[in-house]
Amino acid sequence: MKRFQITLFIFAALTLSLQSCFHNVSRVDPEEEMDISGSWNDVDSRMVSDAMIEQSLSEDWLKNHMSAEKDQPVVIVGMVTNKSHEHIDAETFMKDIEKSFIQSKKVRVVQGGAKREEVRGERADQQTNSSVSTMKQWGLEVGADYMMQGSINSIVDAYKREKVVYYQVDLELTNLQTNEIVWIGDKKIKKYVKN
Amino acid sequence: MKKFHTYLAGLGLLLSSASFAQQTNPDQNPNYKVSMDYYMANHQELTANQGETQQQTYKAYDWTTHKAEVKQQRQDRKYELKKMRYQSRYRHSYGGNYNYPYYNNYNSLYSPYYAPIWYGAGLYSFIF
Repeated sequence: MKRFQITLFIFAALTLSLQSCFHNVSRVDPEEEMDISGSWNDVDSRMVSDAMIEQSLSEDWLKNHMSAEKDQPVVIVGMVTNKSHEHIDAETFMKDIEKSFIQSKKVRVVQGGAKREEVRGERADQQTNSSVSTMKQWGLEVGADYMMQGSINSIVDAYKREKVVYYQVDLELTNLQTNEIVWIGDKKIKKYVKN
Repeated sequence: MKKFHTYLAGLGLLLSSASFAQQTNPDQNPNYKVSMDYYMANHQELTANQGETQQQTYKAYDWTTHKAEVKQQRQDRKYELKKMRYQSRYRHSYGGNYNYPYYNNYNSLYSPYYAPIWYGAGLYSFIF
């Protein structure tokens, strides 16, 4: 009986040590295209952000605004609705777009939502805790000219082991004064998956 | 002096209304204040989710996922039946004893002995 227990112990130890050999982690280039399950992934997000940046900074709405207002447009990011069949967080590509706006110096971006509330909270805190010379004042925020909103839609066509998934991401800019849509950008991605 | 103050207040009111009139657009809808009051009261709620992704996902039919789900349901059902059969072996412990076996609920519809039958017929949830 004791011999059996020792054998069992050695076998368990050997299995565990072998298992640790199979576990492998390696760093890969974030630009590298890697598709495993066929679901939405970083490659799709990057494709959307690249297309949207290219479209938004090259189309007429920017020129029209510059000629009418003689100043860069100010954009606030609104809500993106994910109506696809997968959980997709739009922040991955929306942040890329915001970053490109700021870096290009063609479009200014203002904070919105929960982060803006936090900023206002800090400003309120300064009213009682900061020195008068460094204290920030109320009512001097930059008002946005346009709001960027969007939606993600998908269509799935599956039969047995084959599947075609179509994603459509739409972003639009609406003039806050007139409610006019001045720009619509889209990116369509179609995937064929065979399990 | 009192008369002078009244004139001054009147002049102030006139000037403030004049400056307000300059701010309004002649093409502006005269009922704009109805909308303005509504959105001024609700703006915090309306802007709370700015910059976020609202998830309104749907369930798409996928053959492989469907197959896996059906297999899982079958396994769960088998496990439940097995558990009930195991419990029904010890049905006498649910009532009565060796000297008074008539106190047990052997013949009752609620007896665990019949539970696998009800479960198989899809009536388990109605009886228990």
